[in-house]
Amino acid sequence: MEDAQFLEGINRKEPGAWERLYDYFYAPLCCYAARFVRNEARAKDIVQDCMVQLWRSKVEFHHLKVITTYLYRAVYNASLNDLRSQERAQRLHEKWGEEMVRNEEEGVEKALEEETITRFYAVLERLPEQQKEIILLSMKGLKVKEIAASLELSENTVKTQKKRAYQFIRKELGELWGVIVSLLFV
Amino acid sequence: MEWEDIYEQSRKIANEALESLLEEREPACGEGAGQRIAKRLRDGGYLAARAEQRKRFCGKEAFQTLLCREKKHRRRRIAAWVGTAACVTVACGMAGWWIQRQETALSPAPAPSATVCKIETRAILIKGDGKQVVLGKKPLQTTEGNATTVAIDSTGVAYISRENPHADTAVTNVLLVPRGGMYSLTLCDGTRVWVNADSRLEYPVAFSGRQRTVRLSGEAYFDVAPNGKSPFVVKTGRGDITVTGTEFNVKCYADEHDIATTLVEGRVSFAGKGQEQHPQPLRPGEQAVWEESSCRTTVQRVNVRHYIGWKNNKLSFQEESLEDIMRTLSRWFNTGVVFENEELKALVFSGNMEKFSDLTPLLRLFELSSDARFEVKEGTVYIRKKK
Repeated sequence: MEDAQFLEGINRKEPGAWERLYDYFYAPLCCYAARFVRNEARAKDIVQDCMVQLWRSKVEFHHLKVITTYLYRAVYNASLNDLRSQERAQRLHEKWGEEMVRNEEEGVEKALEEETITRFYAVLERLPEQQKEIILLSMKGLKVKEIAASLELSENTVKTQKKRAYQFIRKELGELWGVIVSLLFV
Repeated sequence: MEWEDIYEQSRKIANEALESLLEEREPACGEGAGQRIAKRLRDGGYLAARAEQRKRFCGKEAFQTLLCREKKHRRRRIAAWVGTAACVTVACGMAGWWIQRQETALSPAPAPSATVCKIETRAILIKGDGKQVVLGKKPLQTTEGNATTVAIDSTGVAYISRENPHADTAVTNVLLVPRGGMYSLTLCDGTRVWVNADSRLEYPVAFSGRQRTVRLSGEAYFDVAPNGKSPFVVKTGRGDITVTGTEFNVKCYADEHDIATTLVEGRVSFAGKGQEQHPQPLRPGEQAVWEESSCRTTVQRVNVRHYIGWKNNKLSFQEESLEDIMRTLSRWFNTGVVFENEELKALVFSGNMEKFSDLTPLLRLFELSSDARFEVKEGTVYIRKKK
């Protein structure tokens, strides 16, 4: 799906486009909200409420960047409001102390991390199976030799595949909406 | 770093994390947030934990909830708009014509395929007047009783009551899911039910009074809409489950001699046949099993995901006997099973698979770790000893 077509679908409240929006943003936003309210059930409610508001509103988006900004910001504000209204803020604050998000800058960093994780998997997901496996093993700290042994490949193949994956990632530019992000393989 | 930077920066950081990983060097995202995040992402354990957390949130489900809620919203408005009897009659007439068409189109039941087939979204709906509708993936809309709309699409059936919600309490519908099928529906109170293969669910088109009662044989997963005034009761031939608002799984097949209730979220209580006076409360993560032979209920803590995986199209077996596994698989894939050697029934296996995929790889996996051999011939699985 083209960006423009996708945005059009979102603005017109078309179910197809909205399902993709949910696929892409729902889980990360819930994780994001859960970092503030520390309760996954409430995090779900917060995110759903934000989505419903958007669904019912007449806001129109002309760039993906704006949707990303809008959603993370909306969930951030709703989470903080929830904390305040629950009157649990004080208690949580004492309990979690340093870990609590104290200022907006940290809110942005956590949002950035969630979106980065999504992007990370979106790229991985589009790599061929073997290259994906090599990356997952590298993440566990395995070296070329060990990866070759565990996948029963020659060291040269591992090196070539690494190079190819590298080239692919270099070329990768946006085009996220064509992919339905799936995290099942981890 | 500002909110507006997230869109651009996230891509850069993700790519840098991957590139540096492939080049076996430290990520170079300058100082600050970018570098901190890139470093964390390169830690496989950290990333896996975050991915694990994401799996607990299902975007598809949440989106369906949104659609359901908003449909009700809109329908109420439309009902207020139209208002006149004439318009409604025309609409009903149209719907009737639609069903007729669908019924004639679908009436020759799909021929059972000869091989082990994939599971499909299909079921039969028996309406209040006894008419049967075959439910497939084709969207369809009809009415039931005086004031209820039945909307059918690829995700399942939804009951939406207009105007007076108590008008149709006398009309009962039955959803039959055949072997090899699976279906989900939304009842008029918003409760969602996933009905597994070879199961039957009976429910009123609209709920009324002090209790919301449905009858089940087979297996179903309930996500009950909270209503403190009107508890939700699942009746089975072997005991009743009473609920106020919660998510749980019930398994009570006629060819098994027990009933298992697994609680995911909220509170339910279970009362086995003859124990109506002593309901057993359950906490999340617990499972109540009532055995017909001893008429006793035992409660144990279980890994919930293992019992509700089918709802998300995942099959999971944990140290189950081959006899139990094959019984489950035969329901899901609508196959016959023949044990040519009785001893093999007692073998114990674990395994996972996607429900909408082929059965063969799972059987090959079993073969690798035992001396059983599986042969699939004309829709039947033959199990014998390796020579």
